[in-house]
Amino acid sequence: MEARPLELSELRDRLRWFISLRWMAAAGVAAIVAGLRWLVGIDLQVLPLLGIALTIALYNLAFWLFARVTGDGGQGSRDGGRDPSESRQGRGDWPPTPRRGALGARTRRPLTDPRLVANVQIAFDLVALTFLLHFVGGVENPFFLYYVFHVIIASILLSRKATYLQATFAAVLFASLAVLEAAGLVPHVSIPQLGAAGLYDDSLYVAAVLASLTSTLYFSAFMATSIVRGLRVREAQVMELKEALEKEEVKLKEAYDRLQEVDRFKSRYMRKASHELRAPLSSIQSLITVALEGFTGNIPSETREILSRASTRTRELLDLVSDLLALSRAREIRPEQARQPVSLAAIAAEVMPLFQAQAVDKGLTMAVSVQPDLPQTWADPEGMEELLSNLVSNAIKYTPAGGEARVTLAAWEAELILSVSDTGIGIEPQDLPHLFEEFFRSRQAREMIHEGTGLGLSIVKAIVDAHGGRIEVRSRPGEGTTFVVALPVWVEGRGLRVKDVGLRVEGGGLRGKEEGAGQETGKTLLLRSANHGRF
Amino acid sequence: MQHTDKILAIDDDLDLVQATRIVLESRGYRVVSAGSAEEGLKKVAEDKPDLILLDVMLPTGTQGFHFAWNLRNNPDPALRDIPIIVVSAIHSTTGLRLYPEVSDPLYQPGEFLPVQCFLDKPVPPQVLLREVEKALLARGK
Repeated sequence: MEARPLELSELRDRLRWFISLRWMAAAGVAAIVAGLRWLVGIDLQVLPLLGIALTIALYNLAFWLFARVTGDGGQGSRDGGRDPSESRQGRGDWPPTPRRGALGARTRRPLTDPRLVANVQIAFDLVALTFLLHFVGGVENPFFLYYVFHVIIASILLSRKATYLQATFAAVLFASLAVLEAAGLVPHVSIPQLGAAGLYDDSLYVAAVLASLTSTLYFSAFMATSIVRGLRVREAQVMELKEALEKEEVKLKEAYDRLQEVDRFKSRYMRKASHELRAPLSSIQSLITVALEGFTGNIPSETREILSRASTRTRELLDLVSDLLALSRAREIRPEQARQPVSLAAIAAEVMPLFQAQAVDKGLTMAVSVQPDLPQTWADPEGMEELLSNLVSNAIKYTPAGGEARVTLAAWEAELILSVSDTGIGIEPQDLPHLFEEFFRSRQAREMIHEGTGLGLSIVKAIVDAHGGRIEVRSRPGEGTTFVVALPVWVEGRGLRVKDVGLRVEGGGLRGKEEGAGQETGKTLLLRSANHGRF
Repeated sequence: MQHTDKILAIDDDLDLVQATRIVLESRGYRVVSAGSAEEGLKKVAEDKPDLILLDVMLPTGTQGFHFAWNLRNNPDPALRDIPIIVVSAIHSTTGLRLYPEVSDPLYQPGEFLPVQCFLDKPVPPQVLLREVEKALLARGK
């Protein structure tokens, strides 16, 4: 993968930062010179050194002004934004050539290539460093190592070639200084306190210093540019990956939308088919019942027996259709559909009375215990009703007279625990693993209650799964069964999306928030009709 | 007890209408029927029934809702206030909630649709008779 050069806008940011650093460097040089001279008492040539510090400040001022005027720094750059051609410029273009196309552009584009600006600034700094070194002992002063910093900065900001050029420039500058001083062409400034006095014209020492510095500069240039290049390659990979991911995301979104559409179609189809199946079955059932109950006159007992069987089988079919639909609906529950904060206590309060008569008929006790201040869950209310109804219905069905069916609602850590227990026939251990399989009914269950679709617990399981919950069953044959469902607790204002799909009374009127497509006609009409306000 | 009230059964399923008719007529009710919402509205005007049994789905899905809506906006107060019992498989086949949120104590079943009662098909005859009688008794209140 090709390393992508430093983005020009990023380079401009770095240049702004270097201008700030340079202010500090100039001030630092002046302060250190003054400190060493007057506090420590080192015999320094204060005036030329402060002159250099001032020069640094002055040329930095020039850089700063230049940046402002050309828009290479300050606000101008930010407003100008990024030149779209920048990132596509290959490394081969470096060292940079000013892009004339940008000149005179109507938009406030930078007038110069920041790479050229960086080269110039680094060169200025190298020269200033050389002058500084000259006045503090030349080759005798170990601070010549500061050249290395500049090379490292160059390797970050510039191309590899430009970095080597800057390293060469630094080496040449320092070598010139050393040679000119050694040859006596430039007067050597000695700092006696350095303890290296006289080394400047020791040709072996000078040669060693030059060789070590030059090699250090080139090694630094090599290592720094290699590392930076590696980083740039990674950066390019990350960018490419990001772009690829964004493309994939779009594709995924499209696929998801298509899937949703198919899903809606399937759902509509299921409902339609189910209704089509239910309608004739309902009619058959109604007609048989009318005859059975004697509305059409007396019927012979044998005919009654036959009709009664037909009625039972029709009932079974109706139940099967209902359960199949409930199962498919439970499997279609999606997080974004119809979820809202749901109080299981309220669901229990609605569901339990529906079973009261059945329980009384069988001579069963029904008990509901709800922990006070029970938190809500985030769920599909229909699903929760279906879930509880199925479990309670089973508890009542499979518990002999005199027994008890108990519903308990409690919160435990971050979960809501719904437990439905009975003192019924229980489940054999070998049947437990098959309990949630579609159409499975244990032998004991079949013996006790002949009819049954074997779908109830599959529906329960599908609803629990759709809500990210867990279900467990504990049972002892002959003693009873307990189903424990754990569902996530919903806490207001914490992460979960609150979707207002219900209708609330406000003053005398009604306010409605409608959800997506589908059942709109009904809901809207319900809303309007309710506004009519006469019941 | 014998009744004389007139009941309009609106349903496109003739067998179901027949079953309903037999049950209701056995108690003395007079039964008229309609196979569509449109016909239903016509029968309401002609026969001025005391109660309407309405299938919400009807042939085109939500006709029943429109029927209820239309009737409740009838300018004639005598027709506008005819009680309606919705008899439908809609709840179990569509999952459409006719009832308000169970957790909201402000609502009673049926408040959404201006009808008196919802019954799921198939309706046992005794339940049908009970609800019909209840709705007729509540009429004057």
